[in-house]
This record gives sequence, C-alpha cells and structure tokens, in this order.
Amino acid sequence: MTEPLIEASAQQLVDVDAVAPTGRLPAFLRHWLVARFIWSIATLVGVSILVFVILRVVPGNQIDAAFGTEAGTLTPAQHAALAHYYGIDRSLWSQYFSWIGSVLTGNLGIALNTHLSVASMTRSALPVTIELALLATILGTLAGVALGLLSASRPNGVRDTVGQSIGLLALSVPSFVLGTAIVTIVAAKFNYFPNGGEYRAPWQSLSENVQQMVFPALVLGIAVAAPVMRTTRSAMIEVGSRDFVRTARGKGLSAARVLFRHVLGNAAIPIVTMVGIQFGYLLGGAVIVEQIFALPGIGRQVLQAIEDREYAVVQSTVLVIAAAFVLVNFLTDLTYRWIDPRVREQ
Amino acid sequence: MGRTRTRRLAMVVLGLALIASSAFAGSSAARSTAGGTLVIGRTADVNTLDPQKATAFQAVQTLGLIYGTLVQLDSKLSIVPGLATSWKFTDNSQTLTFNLRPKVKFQNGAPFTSADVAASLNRILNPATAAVARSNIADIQTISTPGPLTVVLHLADPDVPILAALADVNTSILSAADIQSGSFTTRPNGTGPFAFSSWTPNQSLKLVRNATYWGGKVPLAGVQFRVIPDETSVVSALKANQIQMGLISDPLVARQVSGGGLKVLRQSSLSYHVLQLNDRHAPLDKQYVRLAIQCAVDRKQVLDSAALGEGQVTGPITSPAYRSNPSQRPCPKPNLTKAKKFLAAAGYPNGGITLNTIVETGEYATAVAEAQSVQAQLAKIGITLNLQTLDSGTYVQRWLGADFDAAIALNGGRVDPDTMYTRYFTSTGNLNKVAGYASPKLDTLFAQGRATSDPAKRQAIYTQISKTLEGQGVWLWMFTSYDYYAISSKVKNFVPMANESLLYLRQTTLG
Amino acid sequence: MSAIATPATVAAAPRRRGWFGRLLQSPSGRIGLVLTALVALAALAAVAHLLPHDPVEQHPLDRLLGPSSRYWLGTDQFGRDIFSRCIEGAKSSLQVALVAVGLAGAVGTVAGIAAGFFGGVLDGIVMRIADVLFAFPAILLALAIVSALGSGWFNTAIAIAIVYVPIFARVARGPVLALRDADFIRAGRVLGFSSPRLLFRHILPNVAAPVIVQVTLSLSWAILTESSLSFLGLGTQPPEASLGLMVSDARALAADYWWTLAAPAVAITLAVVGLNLLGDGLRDALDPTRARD
Repeated sequence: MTEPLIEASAQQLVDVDAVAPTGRLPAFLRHWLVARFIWSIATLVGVSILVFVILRVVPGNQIDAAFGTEAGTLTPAQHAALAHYYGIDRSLWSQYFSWIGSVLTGNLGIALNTHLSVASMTRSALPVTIELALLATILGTLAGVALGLLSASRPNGVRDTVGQSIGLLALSVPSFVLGTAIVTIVAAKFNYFPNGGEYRAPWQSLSENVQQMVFPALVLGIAVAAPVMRTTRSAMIEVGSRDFVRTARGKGLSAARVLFRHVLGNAAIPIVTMVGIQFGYLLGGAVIVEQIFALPGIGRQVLQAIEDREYAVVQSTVLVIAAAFVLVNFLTDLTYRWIDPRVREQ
Repeated sequence: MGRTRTRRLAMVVLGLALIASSAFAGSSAARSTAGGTLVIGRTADVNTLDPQKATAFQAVQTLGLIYGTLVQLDSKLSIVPGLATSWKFTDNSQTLTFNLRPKVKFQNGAPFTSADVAASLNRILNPATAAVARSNIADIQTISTPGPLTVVLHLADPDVPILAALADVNTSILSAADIQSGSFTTRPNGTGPFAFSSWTPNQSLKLVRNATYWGGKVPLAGVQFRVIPDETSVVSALKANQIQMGLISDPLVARQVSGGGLKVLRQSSLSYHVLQLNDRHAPLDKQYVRLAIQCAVDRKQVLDSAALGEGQVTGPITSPAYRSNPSQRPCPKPNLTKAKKFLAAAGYPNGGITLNTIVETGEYATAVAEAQSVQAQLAKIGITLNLQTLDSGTYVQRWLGADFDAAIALNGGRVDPDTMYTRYFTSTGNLNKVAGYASPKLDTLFAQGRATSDPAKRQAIYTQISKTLEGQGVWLWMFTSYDYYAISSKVKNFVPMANESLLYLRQTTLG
Repeated sequence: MSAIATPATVAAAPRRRGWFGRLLQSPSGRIGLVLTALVALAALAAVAHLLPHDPVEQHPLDRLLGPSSRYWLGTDQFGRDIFSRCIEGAKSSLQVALVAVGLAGAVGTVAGIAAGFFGGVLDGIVMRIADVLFAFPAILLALAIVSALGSGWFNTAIAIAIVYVPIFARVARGPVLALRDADFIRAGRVLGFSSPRLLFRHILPNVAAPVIVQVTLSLSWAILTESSLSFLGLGTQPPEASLGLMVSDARALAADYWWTLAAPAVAITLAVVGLNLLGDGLRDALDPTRARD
C-alpha cells in the first residue's frame, strides 16, 4: 500500500510546483529554506497530535493489553496503581505535554513493560529499515529508469508495450503477495531462510547481511520501480517533444548527447522527486515486508507497540519516521532545485 | 500474522522453578561454551523482564529459566522441591512453613536467604505493584522469617492451593537488594538454570548457563530466543538450521515439519476451548436449556472441523492430576432426541432461542471455525447462535462486562483446579460475573478443597466439582489443543510441559 | 455526475468522439474496462449468491483438493471452495474500496475545491492537514486507525478513506487554483455571479476529470490496502472471505498446495491491473492534452 500514495503525491508535487513560482535568487532560496523549516515543524506537531489522539481512541489500554481477560482479576486498588504507573490516570493535556516536553529535550521515553528506552530501540531498528529502503530505492530506480527509457524510446511501439506491461504488473502485484510467494518457494521448498530472527549489519558480516536483505529489497524494489518507470516514461516523452530538444536535434547534435544532456537532464526533475518520495514512504511503509522476512525494522517496532499499547513507543517512533520523511522530502526538493537547469543557470 | 502470534495464554503457565547455588554465575558461565547454544525460534518477543508481572507466555517461559520459585513442578505437574527443600501445613492448613535450600546463590553471587523470600512475596502482596499473582496468595497475612533458611506464612484461611500458586513464575523469588534498587527490570538476576546475558528487542534474547545452579550442571552453554514473526518462517528457519527448536501453535504449520532430521513433540495444553454460557441471562438460567445445549453439540466434531482433530475432548479440569473424565458428562455422545426433550421440558419444544455469542478474532486461529461448527450443530435443535466476531480489545471488554449470552473462549488452565476455577465459580470469585453461575453447593465444595491437603481427598472433591459443573450444564467445555515443539534431532532430553514451561532445557543436550 | 459528460468545457478541445469513445479506442482503456467489468460482475454474482459453493461452508472430507470440475480452484484446509471464496473476497475488497474511495473522494474533493476557491486561511488549514496526513506513514496510519475503530469491513473503509482524503484534496485544489484567476471566472465575478454559481457552473466541471481519474486509480490502491490490512489480520474478519486473509492462510500451505496461494494472488492482481488500466485509459480519454501520446 505504499505504492498508491506515492504516485499521487508525486503527481501533486509536480502540479503544485507548476503553480508555485519557481525560485530565482539566493534570497528566494533563503526564504524557501525558512518557510520550509517552519512548515516541517508544523507538520511534525500535527503528526504528534494525530498519533496521540488515535492512540487514545484505540479501545483498551496498556492494562488490558498486558493482562487480557486477566484484567478482571485485578482489584480496584491494583487497577489504580497500574493506571498511575502507565500514566493513563492523568489528563490528556498533561499526558501530551509531558511527552512532547521530554521529546523536545531529547528523551523519546521508555517502554513501560520492557523498561527499554525508545531511543535505544530505535537505534537498533532504524538502520535496518534505512538499509532496506536504500537498497530497494536503488534497485527500483535502476530498473524503473531503464524500463522507462526503454518505453519512451519508441512510444506506443512494441518496446513501449512490453515496458508498460511490466510496469503495470509491478504496480499491481501487492508486496505481501510477492513476499509470501518468495518465502514459500525459497524457504519452504529449498530450505533457505537467511532471516533467522537476528539482523547482521553489513560491517558485522557482509555476506549474511546481503543474504538477509536481497529478497525483501527485491520485493520493495519492484514496488518502487513501477512508479519510477511511469514517471520516467512520461517525463521523457514530454521533454522530448519540447522545442529546445528539437532545436538541439536540429543543430545536429548526436542522439546520445541529446538524450543524456538535454532530455534526461530535464526529465530528471520529476524522476528525482518520485524517487525521493518513494524512499520517504519506504521508511514507514516497509512494515509488511519487514514482518514477512523477519527483519527487525522500525515498522515492526510500531506494529508491536500498537499491539502492546505502548503509547510512548508508538508516539515517538512514528514521530521519528515522520521526521525522517520530512527530511527526505526536504532533501528531495533541494536536489530538485539544484538540478533544475532554470535554477542552476541563474 | 497477528492472528496466532500473541496467543496470550496469560496465566496458563505455572511452574518452572529453578534455583541457583554457590559461587559466581554470570561471568564465569559466559566464558564456558562447551555444550553449545540452543537457538529457539518463536513468533513474539518477551514484553517484560519482571517475572512477577509477566503475563505473555513468551515472557513467562523465558523468565522461568532465569528465576526460581519456592516449589516447582515436574513434567507431570506434580509439586516438587524448588528453593524450598520441604514444607508443612499446620494449624488447620492456616500456617505454611518452608525450609529453604542451603548454599543457593543468585546469579550475581549474592546468597539466597529467607529475607529474599519475604521481600519477594511482600512485593507481590503490595497492591501498588499490581502483580498478577496477588489474588492467588492474598490469604497470606504475615510472613515471618525465624531463621535465614526458614519462612513461615500465616494465612487468613485454610489455603492448600497456595502451594501450587507458589510454583508459578509469577511468584518468582527475586533478591531483596534487587527489589530495593529496581535493577531486575532491565537486568534479571535469579536462581534458575540460565542467567540473563543480553536482549535485542524484536530480535534475540540470550541466556547463558548458570554455572552454580543448585540443581546440578546444566549441559547447554546457553539458550538463545529468536523472534520470527510467522510460524511458517519458524519452520523454514528450522529447516535451514538457523534454529534448533521452534515453538509452534498452528497444527497446519506443525504438519510441515518432516524429514531432514526434524521431529515434532506434541504436548496437550492446559488451556481449554469452551463455549461459555451466561447462566444469568434468560433462557440460559434454565438448567434444561443448558443441558439441551450439552446434548446437542458433538465436541469431537467441533475439534475435527475447527482444529483438524488436533486436540483432545475435555471436561472442566485439564490438569493431569485432576483431569475430568469427559465420559461422565450428561451426554458423553451427542443425543439430539434427548436435547429436544430437555428443550421441551424447559418450555421450548420448538427451540426458537437466540443467543448473542461473542467470538474473538486475532488471538487464536480456531475461534471462528469453532463458533461456526457449534452454530451449525445447535441450529438442529432450534437454537440460533448470533455470532459477533470482535477484535481482541473489544472482546475483552465485552467479556469482562459479561455482556454476552454465550462466548467462544480459550481460557488458561491452571495446575491446581482451585486456582483455575475459584475465581469463576464461587459466589465471591472476581470473575464470577463473567462465569455467570454460582451455587451454595459449589461454594462449599471449593472451600473444602482449599482446606484439604490430602491428595486423594482433594481429588475426590474436584471430581465432584467437575460433575456438578457439567451436570448443571454451566458451560460447554469442548477440547484442549496441543502445543508443538519442532526440534532438530540433535536436541536430546527435552521434555515439554503442559504449562508450556521450558524448564527441562536444564537437562537438554545438543549432540 | 452529469459533469462527466461535459469535459469539453475545459477549453475548445477537439471532440470528434466523446470521452467514452476515446476510452474504447485505447488498448489500456479497453482491457481495463473488460477486466473491471468482469470483477464487478463477479462481485454482483457474490451479492446475488450465485456462486458454485457457499464460500464459508466447510467440506471436511474435501480438504486441500486441487483444482477440479467440482472445485474449480481447489479447496482450502477446511474444504472450502477457493473459487467461491476468491469471488466473495473480491466482493468484500471492492465493497471496502468503493466505500473508502467514495468517502475520501467526496470529503477530499469538497475540501480541495473549498480550499482552492476561497484560499486564505481555509486553504492553509486544509493543506496543512493534508501535509500532516502525508507525513504520517500511510500503512501505519491505516493500521492505527483500524486498531482504533476496530476491525471489520466498514472500519477498514473509513481508515482507508482517511488516508486518501488528502490526495483528493490536492487533486481537486490544483485545477481550482489555476482557474480561480482565469479570465472567464474574473469576468463572472465582475458580472456579479454568485460564488455557488461560479463553482457549480464553471469550476466543478473542470475538477471532475482529474477527480474521476483519481477515483479509478484510488480504487485499485484501496484494494491493495484492504488486502494488506487483511493480510495483517486487521481488515475483513473471518469467516468472511478476504483475499488478503486467504494469502495469509496460504502461507502454511502453499509449499504443498500451490493453488491456495496462487488463486487469491492472481485474483488481487487481476482486479488491480484492471482498475489501473481503466484509470490510465480514463486519464488519456478525459485529458485531451495527454491523449496525443
């Protein structure tokens, strides 16, 4: 389900930017940076409120989650003691502001059942997800751009049909189906299952790390490749029909030079935007693949915490993911402004 | 995948008791790797390191290896010495004296004494702790420690089952100094066969042999628990030799384990699948209506269709020592003619009864299929089950509020039938509202059971309780299912226990 | 929805054929239409109980049979007919998707148009809310909302709708923003036309095309989301058939009984492919400037 939003927001980003005035001056860039920073903070505050409210609406609380039907055996005094321990006897305002207050001072809170700090949990889970998202993005971008170029090289030709069909299929097969199929075939049939529950970082054991990552990265990479392919294709076709490209061709420049210098350079803007957005979404959207391939990433941390009603863990982890997403978006925009010839040439 | 993962067999688990003795544990043990490390795969991680507050069975399983209890259970769930070598009920079963094992040490090297026992039990009794076992040992009025190796519990009422409660991981003995400092919540320190080494949440938890375990040398150098969120993947990891033992609850998955030097140990579980009836809701307040339900349902068929026959038909009491005999129930075999006669006697010759039935989805795989099977069978005598499938949170709330006519449930079993059912079927039990039934006769029988320490006499009393529950048609007890331990053939001497304890890892070898 | 018929109001677009004709002309439009019609027909059959077997009925003697003339796509571990369950599952997916996209489309489009047309503070608020929803990881947002509301098909639909509202808001806002300052709207204002009149007569028709395309594409995404949530055990609940749940159940079986996984996997993919193609076709058919490629 990462695929959908990605495409929509990418389209929209392009639309929005088409409407917005394009930057010209360093002063504008400065303004843009400041505005962008304020916008990011506002967004994160919104996310914090949203996740806080959703968790409070979830039926059941930490006591019910920890005790299940056994909660019925607790005496009122025990119940009150637990409520106090979990901090759910305080007013919502006080819960929210004490959480946000500690986050602002760099303390993400602790899981109340396990007594682990959210920071330490995140330190072990986030690198897994980042590695997975990076690999998937690289694989997906390479495949997607290649396929997009293939399709765009002869619009509506056979190559295009093949390219588009592959892209369509990649867009339409859900990650969980692909992941399940791979686990079933590779693991159950060939007794090969590198993900035995313990993540090995590349610097611990490169070969084990590669084995653990290759299938999940492939599954997510395919999901990334589809929208990248579609964006590449339409951007190439659109740019290719512009006047300056025609002029370049008319001047007798070689086809390769036109393609790489003029067309790809301009088509890169929407492609980079798309890739950035994909990467941002993978940070939170890899949860199902993490679950299927037993990768202890950040998505599973949230999933588990929702189940355990570990409020602090869910809230702070989601905030971390959202912050990463906002940061990636910001970097994407920055890159986009940097490679946009209209900005660069000024 | 959430569906089988968090099977919350909360209080199922009793037992595990282990203790340490002399010398240093952690550091010296960590260095010795002879014996190998057994890697165990399971679908969820521990959710706490506090043994007195652990409810999820992964946590109970793990902490049961680290901590010890005063008494413990053997593979037949009989009570045997643990940190206490002997004990005695006196004063009409109102005083219980324990003689503690000498020269036992905690894994950090501190000696184990009666002060640790008193501090641990007092921590449970303190309402502010919100320990899960508090209600089971609430009869303790005072704890005295006449000597470093003697503990005396003074009870408010005769309470023989308290002994079984003291074999529970939830009554683990912590060191008094740790309770003071609170260090055990992140750094467990017990007297069990394995000492805590490290924990990476959602990945792995490592234990090392306790070199000074009082129960003798532990063959394994260590145990490592890995989290593999899906049971099918647990089997794959086993086949790929990433792990040597997999804990599995889904019979379909267990069937995939075959060949390649793998085998599956099957252990009947204490928890039971039941159709709870709320006997305070009309028309279930009529005994004949309840008996009609008993006679109409073929429990074997429910077991076959919902759980592929993987389990055993059961009566109320599932603990091996007190197990109810299902052939003594009103209709051991389904009998529709009799069921219809009962209905007619209750004033419903044509049925026409509708029962709002709550069913939990997500916690265990078979609930909905069980509900459908019972629904189809009761339809034959004109009783309609109106099934309401609910997610876990909502189900628990409805269940606790007794807001149902009937409930498909998987309830945790206990070693002692008193601990298992007093809370449900005595008029003052804290789950009596949920149970929906109480009678003076049952109250008397349960009180007798609590005051009787002679095993044979106790057994007779609980047989009678079992007969009364089924004779009244209080609930429709159906079956117990199995837990599966898929192991590589290298794993030797492991014995599974009905309470899902892994205590026998203390004698397991990896050859 | 009469607005659909008048996309030509956008500009003086060539309209030799209507949008439907253009849709049928493109291969993706044709295939998409056929596939979607097939899925819709199957769903209708499920609604009308015209299935070869009751999708929840268990046949204990016919467990895990391969595809045959009696069970077209085989049976599962309870002896339930997989073909009937796939159709039933497609129906519930479609039901969730339609309700979710309907809600998201209605709320999002209104919010987007209002934000674009009135601008100012309202625009700021709507777009900031959209930003927040975008920054919240989508699957986790849906997951959290489903946990909050409880599982079940309607709650799943609501959760998906909340996730998709900002998309529609942005889609609708774009063209409104572009048109707000267009000459003919300015002229309308000068002539004293009321806001509602300007909105309904001139702006709404121009928003309709992108929104319709978005609806089609969102339907396919909603099906993916629904099946993902069901796969995690949070969407449609058993015994109701659901494609995601079928895939999840098949994990323990597929190594030996391939059809238990293949059938729901192909069913999801076909439904999504169909809607994606239809969406592409519609986009080309409704947008004259894109129709050229």
